[in-house]
Amino acid sequence: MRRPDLTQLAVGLAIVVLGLLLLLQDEGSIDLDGGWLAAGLTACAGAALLASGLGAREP
Amino acid sequence: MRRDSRRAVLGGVCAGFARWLGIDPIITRVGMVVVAIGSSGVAVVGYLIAWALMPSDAGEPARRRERRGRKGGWRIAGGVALLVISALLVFRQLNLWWSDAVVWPVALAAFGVALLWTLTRQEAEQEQEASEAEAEAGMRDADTRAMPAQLRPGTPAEPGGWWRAKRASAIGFGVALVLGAALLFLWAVGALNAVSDVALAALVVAVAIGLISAPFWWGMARRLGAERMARARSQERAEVAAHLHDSVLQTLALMQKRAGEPDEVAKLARRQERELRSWLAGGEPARPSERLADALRAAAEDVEETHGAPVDAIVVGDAPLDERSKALVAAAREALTNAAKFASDTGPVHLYAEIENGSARVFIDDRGPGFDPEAIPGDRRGVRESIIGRMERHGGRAEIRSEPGEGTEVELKLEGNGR
Amino acid sequence: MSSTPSVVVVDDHRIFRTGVKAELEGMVEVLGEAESVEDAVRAINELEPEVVLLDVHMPGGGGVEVIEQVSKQRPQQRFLALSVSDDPEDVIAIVRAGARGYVTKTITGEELAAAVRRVRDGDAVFSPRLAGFVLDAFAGDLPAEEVDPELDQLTAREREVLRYIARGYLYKEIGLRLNISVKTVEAHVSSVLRKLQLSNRHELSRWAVERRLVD
Repeated sequence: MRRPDLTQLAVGLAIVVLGLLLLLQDEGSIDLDGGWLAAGLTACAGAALLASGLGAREP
Repeated sequence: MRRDSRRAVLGGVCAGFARWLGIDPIITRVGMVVVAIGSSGVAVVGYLIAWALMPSDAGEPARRRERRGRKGGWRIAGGVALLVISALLVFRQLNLWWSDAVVWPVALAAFGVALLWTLTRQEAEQEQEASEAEAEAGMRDADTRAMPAQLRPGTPAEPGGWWRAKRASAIGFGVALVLGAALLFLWAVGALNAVSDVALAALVVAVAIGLISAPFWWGMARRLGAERMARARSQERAEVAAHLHDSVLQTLALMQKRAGEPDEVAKLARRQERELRSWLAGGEPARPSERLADALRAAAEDVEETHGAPVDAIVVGDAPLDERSKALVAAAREALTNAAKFASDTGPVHLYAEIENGSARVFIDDRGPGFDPEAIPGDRRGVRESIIGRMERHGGRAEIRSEPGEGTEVELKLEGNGR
Repeated sequence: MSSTPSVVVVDDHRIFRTGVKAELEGMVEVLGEAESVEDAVRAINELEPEVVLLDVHMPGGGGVEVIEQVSKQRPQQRFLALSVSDDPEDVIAIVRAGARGYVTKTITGEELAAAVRRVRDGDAVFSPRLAGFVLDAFAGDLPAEEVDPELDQLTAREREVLRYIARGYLYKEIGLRLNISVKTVEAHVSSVLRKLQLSNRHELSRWAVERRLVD
């Protein structure tokens, strides 16, 4: 198996987590108001960007 | 990941984190400060926890400044920035918030400042590396200075137009961030509506400009300092060159002219060696008219000069020169002269002196033919008398020991006054 | 006389190394030479000479650096410092670092070979100037509490021996003068070397600190 591309992996994970949160909210199990959502979004975006940057520097 | 103890401002947590990420520590520090402000200080607890949990790198050898890959660096910094914002949002949700009007402008301004500082630092680093490499190479090879600047080792290649445009736009972005922060603050505070709040507006703008220009002032100051050091270095070089030119080159030229006279050459070499040694040693100039040790050494040098025989002078201790010790020096000078005259080709004449608490013992040894103290040729007897007699007249003692074929020893003793 | 001693010559001046090799011809076996700290460490570890003739001043840390690095792998290696410099700081520094002797570059071939043999046999070698420095460093009294009689003072006999060395006497001549054997003279000199290396006397510590030897 090829070495996984960290960037794609991170972005993928982020999208999955976001999707989960939105799903749970829709279902009504949890209640996220705008603020938490914003926090979650930026965190995922930041982590993805960070991972992509780290991944690009693999020697 | 470890705490960076060398580049630490407080505990090295931010520096260590930055090193692990491979970015300039200023980015993580700014992030930390912003989150700390935004959370009204709660985030400081997180810093302390990190301080406790992260091991220090005190025992490890210093790592070379890691070259930051230009490719990933900005993305990492961007990622960190977004994570900082998300942390701020979390604190906002938890109501550990300062206020919107303060935190957002501060965050914006902080990122703008961090951006500008990193740009200046990169530039400064490149300059420093270039000048260090040049100093090393240039000191050794004068020809490199004649080369055009681009080809000199260590100078960064002329930055391409594309790179310069990128840098300019990064600077522009940083400036825009800070100015934007200023405007945001003013808008949040409502100052833009009230015309009478011009003062506040002006103050904020001034602070913004100060923040923007700070890195450039800092860069200039550092450059001035570097220039001063470079000038001092070249001045010192000029002094060394002048001295070498005056003394050593002259001697070397003289030696080449007299190459056929080995004794003369040896004498010139010894004289120049002694002079260069004392110049290198620096320190205080010798005072042969005031200090006993200097006087003895000067006597040894004079005898060496006049008679061409090598004299090794070793003096332990020192004392001021007075009447009695002047006589001691004179007696030593005579003994040295004798040794140099009669024993010059059997190795150096040794002068060894011990001076302490006002008393002195001087030994003059040579490996010359020696003589039988009982059977002294006429003129030497007179000289012997003058050595022994002189010492005794000044309250000292002299002993001359010699055997034919065994060299000669002269011991001069001066007892202390016991003051 | 026992076998010919083997040396490696370490000095950053090629002309000087050539001169030393020529002077030692027939009396000492020169296994190799080196002109930088790195080369020296490598050569010494490979060739395993009995004695290393070591210059004090070299780029990359000088003789002291060579001693420190080699001692990690070959702690039994013996060093004889050979230098132009007669600056007490340089001299004392390299002796404190572990050199067993110090001679200046004006020494003759025979005297150098004799010095090498002495160091090989485990004794110490002092040039007249070094003897002078040592007498200077150990001169004067110390406040009683600070004295380690083992290390911080020279015995009267040791002082006498050092004085004769400073006056240019050979060990044989010193033995005759003091009515002791050459072996005894060598023992005294070795004892002085040990004191020089270990004593905490103020002058020695100051010189060592200035050379950043104290850790």
